[in-house]
Order: sequence, then structure tokens, then C-alpha cells
Amino acid sequence: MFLRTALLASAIGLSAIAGTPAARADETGSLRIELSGLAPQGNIMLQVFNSEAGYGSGQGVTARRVVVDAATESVQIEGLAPGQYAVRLFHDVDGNGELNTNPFGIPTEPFAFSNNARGRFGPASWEQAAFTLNAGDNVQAIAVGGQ
Amino acid sequence: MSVSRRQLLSAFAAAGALAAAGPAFASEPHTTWSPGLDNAPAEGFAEAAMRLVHGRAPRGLAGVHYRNGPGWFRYADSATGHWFDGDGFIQRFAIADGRATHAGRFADTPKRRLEQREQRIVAPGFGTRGAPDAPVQGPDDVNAANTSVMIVGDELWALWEGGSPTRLDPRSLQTIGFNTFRADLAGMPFLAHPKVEPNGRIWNLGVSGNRAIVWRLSANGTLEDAQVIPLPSRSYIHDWAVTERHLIIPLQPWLHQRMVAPIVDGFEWRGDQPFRVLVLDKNDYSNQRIYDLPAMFFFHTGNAWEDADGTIRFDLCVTPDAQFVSQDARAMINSQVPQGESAELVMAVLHADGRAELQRSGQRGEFPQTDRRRQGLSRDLVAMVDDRADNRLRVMNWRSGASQSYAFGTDQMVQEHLFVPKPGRSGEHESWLVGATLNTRDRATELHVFDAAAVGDGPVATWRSRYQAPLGFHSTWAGA
Repeated sequence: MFLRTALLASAIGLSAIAGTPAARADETGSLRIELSGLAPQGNIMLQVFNSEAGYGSGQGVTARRVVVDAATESVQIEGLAPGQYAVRLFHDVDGNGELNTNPFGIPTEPFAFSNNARGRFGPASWEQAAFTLNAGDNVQAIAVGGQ
Repeated sequence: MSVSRRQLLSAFAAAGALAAAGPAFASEPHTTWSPGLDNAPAEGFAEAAMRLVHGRAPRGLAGVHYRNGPGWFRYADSATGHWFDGDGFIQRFAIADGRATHAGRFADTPKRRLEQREQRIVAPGFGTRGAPDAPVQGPDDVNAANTSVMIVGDELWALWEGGSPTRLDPRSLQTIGFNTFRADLAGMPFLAHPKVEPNGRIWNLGVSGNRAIVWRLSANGTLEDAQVIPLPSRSYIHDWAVTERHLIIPLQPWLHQRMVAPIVDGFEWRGDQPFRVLVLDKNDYSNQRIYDLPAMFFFHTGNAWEDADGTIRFDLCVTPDAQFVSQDARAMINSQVPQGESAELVMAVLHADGRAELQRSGQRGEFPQTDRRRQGLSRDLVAMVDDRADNRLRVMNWRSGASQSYAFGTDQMVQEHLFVPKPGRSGEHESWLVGATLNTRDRATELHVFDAAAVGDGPVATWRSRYQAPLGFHSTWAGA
């Protein structure tokens, strides 16, 4: 009936870090991701994508691990070429490096997407999560865990 | 899970009269037509004495009848899409010293908190599409906690079927939170029909597509075991059965074929396929047998047992197809009248040689109840609700083939009645039957007590509440 996010589990991971595309500083944008609704433990594992294909295959342009000490955290990513991006993340509450799921594949740790997009029966789609990153400063505010 | 068609007809006819009376009525988009599907008050029912309106309280009857069912269906601009998606409203009927009280409270789920805050239907459900921005992380974010109740240890659990049990305080009905049993089992489904062995051990199923989790809990609710098993089909499973040695999983040909919203739209009736019954050995789930019966639809079983020669028997209430769940229970929200057939009580007989057959009773009814002391054991009686015409409570005796019934009449919507053992007695007929009706004429919920051996004589006691509660689904009894 619900979210089938084994896909998400495999798609998010620091092992999937790819190189940040080279771009001249005066053409690049920065992305500040402001996270809220956190329980202060474990880590946020997030991955940034710049194409639908990469989003679908889990090949991101960069990834971050953010230690969670407070209900809000933020992460700054510099040097991104302007264009379409999407972010997905999960809160690795127990610090095991994985998105835990129950035996039916439903996540038992919080997860979220850019635009606070919601998937229906799985991860949010690229269309739902994609946003335009411009040269200069950009911000995505993401409520982790939904409500 | 049907309600009286006649009751609905009359209720809707009254609504039609209101609509015809003038545009002031007709223009209100979400007036409630059927009292059975009205919203209960958001604040619930403060505990209040019920008035004895018939008979007298039987000596020795003391305890609490808990009841759960959908109790909230609509906001100003949005409504649930299916009867099964209303928020769980738990009622508490307490009988002591010849007096009765009535209280009610909504289960305080994340779904209800969010929707009350936003004053709109947000959560997707069984037959409700939900809002695109619904903040759903997992099943318990849409858990309606609306289907049944059970006492476990010193807690009352409100049960749904797609997610975790909701723990409540049995006295105040205050919600404590979900019971997920173990961190890695959070959000696993837990049917609203657990089976409690005479020794207290609790068995239950949870179903997702063609997989099930088999739950085994101790009498106090501690998880003993949880195993995932494959199922041979993607059948809708609301209830099941357990004998002393076997788990019985009926697999009807209403199959979940597509993952769409709402869920009910993804099911397909396949009348060309058999109604399969999967039987598992309690001690070794890989030890299985499958039996075939003709295509039919069911929600509820009575109880199962095994004869000395290994024959398994269980009764169930069946309809020819899935009309009620796929269409009628949605249309009811929109004030339309159910069109499907009433259910018939049948007995499934699974022979040791692999043959299976159905014995028909010719008796119509739903919400079958048996003496719960005999869970998994041979017994004769089954009580059920016949919602046709004059709203009967019926008790059928499988051994004699006899049945007797009491007609509440056209002004009462009769609901599930439970066997309550008389103190110091052990026979199934040495029980009372305790259950609620909705009196549509006086717009009040009533609680009735029958002698199970003489149902035809009518209730021995009836109390009337100052409150009118929506129709519910399932109940439990906690003896004092």
C-alpha cells in the first residue's frame, strides 16, 4: 500500500559520490540546504543530482554526511553549475550508514526530497524533486520526516 | 461489513426530502445523510450514564464492551472516499452493579492530528485518494486505527490492518502511541483480527501483496516471533482463522493487481479463479497445503477447528463478489444505497485427503461471532447480524441446523454482538450476547444484552445512551 523505497535505499549512499563538475567560480552557484524537524542523533546522508538519469540510477554529482546535533542543521555546497538539480536524503538515526527498512521494504528511518516532494508509492519523482539552481546563492529548506 | 440497506434507503429518502424542501438544504454539499456515517463529536463522548429502557441488568454481568469503527468522514470541503477510511472512534460501554455508562474518544493518530489541524482530508487511504502533499513516510502516517479493539495486558489496542496497533489507556481511552514491537518491524501491517488461543497466546497476520508476516505474541503482547512468508496470490485478506495446530489463510480472488491511489482501485475481481485456502503448520510454516473452493468474497470468519481425522472446518460470511467493498462502501459516503447481496454464512470443510467443500447454511448475516473461549476448538454456535429488512440478531447452531433470531425492527441499525460467558458457566449457550445498535428513530446508541440460549425472546436488558455514535466495525469484551 505504501512507499516502496528499496530503490531509495540503494540510491542514497556515500559510495555513490561522483566528482563535482568543474565550473569557473564566477559561473557557479552555491546550494544551502536547511534541514528541520530532526531528532538530534545520527547523521543525515544526502545526495545531489543534476539529471533525471542520474537521479534514477543513483549517480549523484555530490553527497554529504551531516552529523545531527540539533533539530535543525544546514549544509553548504559550493561550485555547482547552474541547471536543474534534485536532492534526496535520509536520516541515518542509528548511524549504520544505511536506510533501514522493515521486511516489506518500507523505510523505518526518516527520508526527504528537495521541494519537500512526496512520493506516492515510492521515492518522489525527478519532476517533483527537481529545482533550478542559478548562479549565486540558492536555498532549499527541507523538513525531514514529513510533518 | 454491510449496514441495513433499508435503513440507508430510509435515511437517504429523508435526505432527499430535505433537499427537495429548498435550496438552503440542497446547497449544503456535505450534510450527513445516514446517522451511521455522521462525524462523531471531535471531543468525543464524556462518560455518561446510560438509561435502562428495557428489562433489567442480569445478575453477574460486569465488564466493559469496547467498540471501534470509523467515526469521522468529512470536513467542510473534503470527505473520505470510503467507509473504511474514517478515523477510529473507540467507544467504552461499562456495565457494573446493574448500571451502564457510555464514553467515546478518537484514536489520536498522526493522520487525525494532521487532518484536524488542517480541517481537510489529507491522508491517502483504502478508498481515499488523499492530498498530493500528504506527508507520508510510512503506513502509520495514514493509520486510521479504526477497525477493531483488543485488550492486551493492561492496554487496549485499536487495530487497523495496514499498520501498527495503536495503544490506548483502557479507562480513559487516551492514546499512548503505536506498538511497533521491534524497531525493524515499524510500520508492518497487523490485521484487525488477531486470534487468541485459550492459553492467551496471540496469533496474527499482516499482508502486503503476495507476502504476509505471521505474528506470534505472548498473552501480554510481547513479541515471540515474526516471520515473513510468501503467498500464492495477491488476495485481499481482512480476516483468517487458526486451529490448535494450523494457520488458515483464505485467499479470495479479489486481487491487488496495480499500485494506484486509492488502493481499492488497484484490486480486481477474478471470478474465474478459485477461492484458495492456504493451511500452514503452526510449528513449521513451510509445511503447507492448499485447498480450492469456488470463487466468492468474504470479510469475516467465525472460528476454525479440526476433527480427530484431520478435517478442518471454519465458517465465514460470503458474498458472490466484491461489490460491497469496491463500490457500495464508497457510495455510502456519498449517500448512495448499497446494491450488493447480503452475506450468507457458510462452512468451509477441508478434508485430510485434499478435497474441500462448502456447506451452506441458508442464513444471511455478517459480523460473525463465536464463544472466544473456544478459539481453535470445536463449537456449535455463531451469532451474526442480519441487516436485511428488520435488522436481526441471529444465532445459528451448526450441529442442529437450527437458528433463532430477534428482529430489532426498521428503526435500529444492529451491530456486532459478542459472547460474554456467564460467571461459573462453561457452555457456549450459557453466555450472554452483548452488543450495540443505533436507534435511528430516537437518534441514540443503545446497548443490549441477550441470553444466548434464547435470543428469540429479545434483549433481557437495553440501555440507551444520551449519545448517537456512528456505526462501528468490531468489539471486544473485558470482564470485570
